[in-house]
Amino acid sequence: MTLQLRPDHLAVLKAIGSSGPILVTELVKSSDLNRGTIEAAIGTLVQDCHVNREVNTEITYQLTERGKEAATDGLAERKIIASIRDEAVHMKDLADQAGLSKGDMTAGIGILRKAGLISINKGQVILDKPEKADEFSKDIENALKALLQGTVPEDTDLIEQMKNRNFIEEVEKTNVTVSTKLTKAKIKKIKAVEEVTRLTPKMLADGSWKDVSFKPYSVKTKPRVLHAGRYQPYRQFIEHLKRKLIGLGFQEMKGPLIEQEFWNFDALYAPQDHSAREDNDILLLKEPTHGQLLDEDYITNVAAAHEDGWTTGSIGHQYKWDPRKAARLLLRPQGTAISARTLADLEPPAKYFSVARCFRPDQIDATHAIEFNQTEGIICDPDITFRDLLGMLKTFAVEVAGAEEVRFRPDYYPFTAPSVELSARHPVLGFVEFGGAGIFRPEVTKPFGIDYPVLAWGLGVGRLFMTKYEISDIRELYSQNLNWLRSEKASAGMEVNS
Amino acid sequence: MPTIDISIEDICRLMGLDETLSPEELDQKVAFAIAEVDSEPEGPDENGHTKIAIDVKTSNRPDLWSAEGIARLVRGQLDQPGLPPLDAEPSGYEIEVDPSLEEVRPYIAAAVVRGLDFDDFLIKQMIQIQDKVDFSFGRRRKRSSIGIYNINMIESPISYTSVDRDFKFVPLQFDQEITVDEIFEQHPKGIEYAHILEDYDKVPMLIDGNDRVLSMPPIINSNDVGRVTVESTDVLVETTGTNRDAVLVALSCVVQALRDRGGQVQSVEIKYPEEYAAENEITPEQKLVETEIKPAEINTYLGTDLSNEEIIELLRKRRNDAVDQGDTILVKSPPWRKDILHWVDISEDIAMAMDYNRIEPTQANVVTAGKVDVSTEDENLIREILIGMQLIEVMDYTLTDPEILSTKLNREFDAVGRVAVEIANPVTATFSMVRNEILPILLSFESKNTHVDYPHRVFEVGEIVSKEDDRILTKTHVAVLLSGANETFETISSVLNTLMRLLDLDYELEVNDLELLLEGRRADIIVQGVPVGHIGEIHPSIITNFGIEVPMSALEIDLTRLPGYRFQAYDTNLNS
Repeated sequence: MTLQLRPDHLAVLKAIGSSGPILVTELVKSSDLNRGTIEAAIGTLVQDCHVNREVNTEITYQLTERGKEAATDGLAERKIIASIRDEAVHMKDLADQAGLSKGDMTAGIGILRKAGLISINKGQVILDKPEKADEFSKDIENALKALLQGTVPEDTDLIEQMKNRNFIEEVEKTNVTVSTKLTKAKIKKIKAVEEVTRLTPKMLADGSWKDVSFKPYSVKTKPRVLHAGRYQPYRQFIEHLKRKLIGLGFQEMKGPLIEQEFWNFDALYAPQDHSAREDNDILLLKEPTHGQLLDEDYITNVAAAHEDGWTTGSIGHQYKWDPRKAARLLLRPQGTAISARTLADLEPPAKYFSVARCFRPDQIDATHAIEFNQTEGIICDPDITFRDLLGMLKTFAVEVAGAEEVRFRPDYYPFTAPSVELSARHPVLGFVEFGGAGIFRPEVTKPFGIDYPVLAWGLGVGRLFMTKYEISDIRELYSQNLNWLRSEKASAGMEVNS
Repeated sequence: MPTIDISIEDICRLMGLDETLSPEELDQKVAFAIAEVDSEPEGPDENGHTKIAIDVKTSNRPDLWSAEGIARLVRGQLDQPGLPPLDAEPSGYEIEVDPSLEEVRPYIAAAVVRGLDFDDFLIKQMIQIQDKVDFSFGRRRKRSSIGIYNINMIESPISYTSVDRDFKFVPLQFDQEITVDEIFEQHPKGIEYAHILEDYDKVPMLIDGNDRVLSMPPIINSNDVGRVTVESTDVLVETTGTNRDAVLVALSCVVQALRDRGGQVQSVEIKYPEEYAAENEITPEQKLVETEIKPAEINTYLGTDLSNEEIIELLRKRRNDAVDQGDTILVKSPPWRKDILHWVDISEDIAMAMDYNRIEPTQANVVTAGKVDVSTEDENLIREILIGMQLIEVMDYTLTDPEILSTKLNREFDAVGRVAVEIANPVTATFSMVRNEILPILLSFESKNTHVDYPHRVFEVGEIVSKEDDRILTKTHVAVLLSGANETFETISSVLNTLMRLLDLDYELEVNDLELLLEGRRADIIVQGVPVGHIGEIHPSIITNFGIEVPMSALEIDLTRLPGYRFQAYDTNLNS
């Protein structure tokens, strides 16, 4: 297998091969390549095991500031010797003559006295042993000069002396030595091949890709983040829900967000003084406050049904129905308003559903909201019964919530009789309220010309979504958190799994 | 509707049970009364009562808004089927009603209950019945209100009359006589309920045979006469109001509960003036509510196969009585069952008595084709195209803060108020307007995400409401907002171009003067000569208003204006 190396890496390997084990600093000195290139090359060569690297530290010495001064200017004692060699000089003049500070002069005199080379008589400094003096401290001077060039003396006595005089300090020096086991012959066989970072169209066009090598990437490096386009998770959950309902034969219905009390209450047989119609239970409009009722028979029929039951067989609510109250506008508080609108044009058999945005005044916290979705619908067929309603609710619990066990309880709505509450068993939470339903009262259906039973149902799917996504705060459904929208893991369906 | 506080030990005794049920067992029992346990139990306290809250779901059965009422119904399936006791000997008390009350507060009912053993607990339970029935059923005392008095020292005949506003008496918890007007200004209950009587020159007053003021219905009792204490044994209960049925039902809620507590009920005669009432009344009402049902019809409706005998037995479990008439059954219900309007209400009693969980569900064979609305299909097409351009979908609130639609956009509020729906009674200003466009909401969304790395490329397809001429229209819009150092007119233009190309729509851009967008970089989107939306760079001052520091470009389209697509504007006043 022919080894290939980039040209500069090969040059470094060759240099190491011919020199044998060598200090990196030496290698840098002797090479044309710059230090950075050499060090990078060594890095790769070591990684690929072509080169060995040994690191050892040694104690060495370097000049202090004082040492540098002494090296360049000369030692105090030698200057004094030069000054007094021919003739004694008085102490008061010696500093100037020798070109020394008073302090240095005193130090120098001290050293010479200790060495027995001078004597002082009446202030006169006299050189006693000129021949000895010539050589005195010359070794230190030479050593200092050598240190300026980067050469460290080996004499331990000398080192000790220089240390004591604060000319040098100890430093730790790291020496990096590189060597290779590859023989020169082997090295000769290595091909120098250009390394590139990218394959280009030109290389493909002219085939030059064969002559280069591709810089290896660290495959474990974390890649740059790519933000995918995402569906809003709650929205998509609702789409999955719609699919399930379609699978059960339901057709979608839609309606306006701003409703008339007629469709939301009167058509659903809530008496006009029902507490749910009070101003603190619904959201009203500033302007316009009222809409216009349609000019249809069913309006008159509904009015009569309220007043005395009309032909429904009911005794009615027994009050005077006010069309102006029915024309009052509000933000839709329940999806059943859409079902009421659908009654106006109904042909059995029919199964309808809607997922409607609804609005009610409420506190705003983790479990309450002013704005929320409701899923509801109707089933109409001449032969349908209350038992069929229970059956449909059970199917919803199984198909939509994935629950296996259901429980029914008595419930109340102004527009249904009988009314039933549906609970479904959650594997962890136990029985959880899942929906409500009933058979529309004849006072609701007959005014629209419907003479057969219409089943009405509603499901709470927001909770399913929150369980699935482990959300405990209802405010996260209409999430304002872009990070969550970007990265919440995609989920294929509605299943609330483990 | 209301939530009531009861004692578990007490309701179990009322139900005739030997032991005290657990909260779960209690929940199962009260389901029969269309109620459920709604809190954790607290206690027991030093009197041996464990407090728990019960949520009663009906708005038309105030007789069930008390421990006594729930127990009364539950016992129908335990040891007391059939009608509850309704007997009442005459008490000898009469109430004379003055004709002047016809316009103000025409109806009154009353009863005397004797031989009661009051303690603090029972007094509190009675006050709770009064509060809940007055508030929810009595529509905050306007439709009906309840008064309870210690009958000692009250003499017949009682006069239910009206007085001028300068009439004086000592209201409860005061120590001096003050006028009616002063009560409305100074007394807490006067202040709270003054509005019920504010339109009238004269106000109702209940005065006994010795000219002593009992109360000013529905506002406040007098301080000196008729206070119920733990020493009391005999009480007078009265109800007044504007709806005769409501007044009668409200009376029975209290009276029947006191009967269940061991009291002996006596009737009171109400002498109405000829001017407005057909006849006098003896209250509490004893006339049963009668409904004739056809068993065949009931069985078809419920999907059951019950015999007449079975139906009658089930009805008795719900405290009714019934007479087998062969093809029909005559159902007799207690007088307070004014919630029964139609035989479907009887069918509900029958079904509830069966226990819904024992009715075998069936699967109807209603064969229909399921489908989404055509506009949903078109919405999903657009969403898919935008996802395909790596945009992230947002689903935000439809309600918003008026500032987001006005000041933050450098727009005058008045102009916005003309086209956007404003809520008259909002919970908070933050959600007091309905959005008439989506881009401002996306800008607000972006202002909350300035710490998230850019670029942000988001969109929403959603509903808006817009007032156009005299119409209120619910429509679907799409809005795209691009934020980042490199987002410009060009980048949003590419998005629009791809979107329209994939929707197979030719379009043109024409320079506009929309202040939301930066001059020189803004345009209307025109399809077949009709402006359907706008596109451009968001104006820097608006970006700054939202506290954002990167450039933004955007588009918004009213999807109902796209030809060939099936979006519909829903007009509140029409039904298409």
